[in-house]
Amino acid sequence: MRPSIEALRKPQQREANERRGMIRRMLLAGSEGALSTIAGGADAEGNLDRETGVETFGVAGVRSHPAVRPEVIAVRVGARGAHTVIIATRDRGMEAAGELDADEVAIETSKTFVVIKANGDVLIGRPDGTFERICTESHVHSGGVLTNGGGTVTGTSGKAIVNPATAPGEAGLGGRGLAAVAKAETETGL
Amino acid sequence: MTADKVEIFIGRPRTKRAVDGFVYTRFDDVVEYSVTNDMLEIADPWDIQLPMSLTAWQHAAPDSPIIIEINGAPVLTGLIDDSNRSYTRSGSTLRLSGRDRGGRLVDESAPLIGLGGLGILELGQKMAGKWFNEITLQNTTNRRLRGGAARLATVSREPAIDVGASPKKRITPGETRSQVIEYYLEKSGLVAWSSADGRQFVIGRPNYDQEPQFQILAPKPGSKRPPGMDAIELSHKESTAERYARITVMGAGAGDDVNDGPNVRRRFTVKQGPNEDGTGGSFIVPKELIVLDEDMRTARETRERAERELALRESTALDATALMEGHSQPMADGRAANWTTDRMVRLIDEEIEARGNPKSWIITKVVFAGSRGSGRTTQLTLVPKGTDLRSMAG
Repeated sequence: MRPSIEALRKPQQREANERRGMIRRMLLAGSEGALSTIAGGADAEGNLDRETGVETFGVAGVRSHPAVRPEVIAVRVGARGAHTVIIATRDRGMEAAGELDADEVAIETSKTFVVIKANGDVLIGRPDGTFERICTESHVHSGGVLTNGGGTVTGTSGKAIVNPATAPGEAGLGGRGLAAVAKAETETGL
Repeated sequence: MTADKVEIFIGRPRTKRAVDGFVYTRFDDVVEYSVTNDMLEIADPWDIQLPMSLTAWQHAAPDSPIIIEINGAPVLTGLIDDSNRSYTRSGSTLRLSGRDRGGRLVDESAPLIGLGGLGILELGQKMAGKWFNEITLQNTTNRRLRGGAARLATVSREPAIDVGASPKKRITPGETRSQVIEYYLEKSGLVAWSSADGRQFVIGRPNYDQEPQFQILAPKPGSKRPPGMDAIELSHKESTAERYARITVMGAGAGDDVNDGPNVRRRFTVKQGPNEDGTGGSFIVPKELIVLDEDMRTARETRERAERELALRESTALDATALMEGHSQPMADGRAANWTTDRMVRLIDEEIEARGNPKSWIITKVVFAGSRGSGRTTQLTLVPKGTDLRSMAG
């Protein structure tokens, strides 16, 4: 159907443009201190869509500095002007723990991960699949810590593969709630 | 009253390969027209009806450049947006419409360039330089162009404006050039318009530092003033509808390595009148406005934001519109000058003179209109001398 002139003009209006630009998926281009530079695409003349001096908001008490191929969800507070903050980051290159199962949580860098398994065990591991068991579910409940329980995580590859359903959160913090999982997956051999 | 002459010139590329030169063809048989010059809008619209002819049709292709002249002086230079040929049994017409060169700024997306540290002129150059030969703070040339042959008093100097580094802003992909410009103009208390010849993009303020050039008279019955300056219609409005007794701006600004939390929270309150609740000036009864703004980096920016909100709303306190016969008024040297924006007017409304209403007004908008059947008129919009005018972003 042929659009009306009004329908073509409306998306160009200031409010419409501000709404579209208020929440954006961009790349993290660099950080200095507490502030980051984020980038989108480039226009036809090669000018890069880029913002500097951007603060990061996440979960209080948890910080990360994505390093490999980080993406961010950026929000322009108040919809206009220069007050943009990062509210979520994701770095697929840091997801060393591989795929998570339901009711599991991982804290990851590109070289090391800590996983709280569905059975309650806590592991510290590497992308090659080797791990050490920090504590078991029974130790967690008794307050003890296991430091020499090394082994290999069967079924967990060294590839950084994460279930696409995992929502972006803090880079390095993988997680999937029970309610979000339609079917239970096989235990990883612990 | 002088017989005003309206002509249009439509340009075609000099050769098929030429991109920087046009050959203009004159059309003076205008059936109907409306041409706007507005200081407060970046793009001024126009609409012209010509008798249908194959020559006119061939010349008036959309996107062709057009110059509109009144009494030999250019009043608008722009581009044809729409060309509409209409046939009826009673005759054919060709209606052309478009905007001045500022229209491109309203339509085109801004380039995704960094704006950090730019002054207002540099910003104007980045946003409007593609469409105008010069970005200027001087409206002198434009006033002279639009006025025509009559000798108008020279304005001694243009108002000084701060051309320093502009407030921070980031361009959202898709944001238009005019939206970026207007954001800065609003924050800087400025307005922008294009010159009548389409060469200059003027950034500045209305020039109140001039003696009235024109006169508008609304005589009361039995007036002893000589005729000649009478308005056909004069409307004079006082209003508090968009104004407030007290305005509070609140919100936050971006943080950095050392500033966060309470350090980036901002609030400032301004009052219209002397009382605590802002009454005692224009307001008898309290009227409060809270404005949320999440882009205030400093306490100074917050104060300026609140003062700007008050100034913008106060600028609607008083305005006038006048409908005048013809498009020009005789000056002291006997020659006629076209009605022109950014020119002072002595406005005499005899019936309300006693209340002490301001006599010096500035023209912010001129609409030249006419048709073969109903003659030529000019609609003027005026604000009192000293009114804070600035572009409203968006």
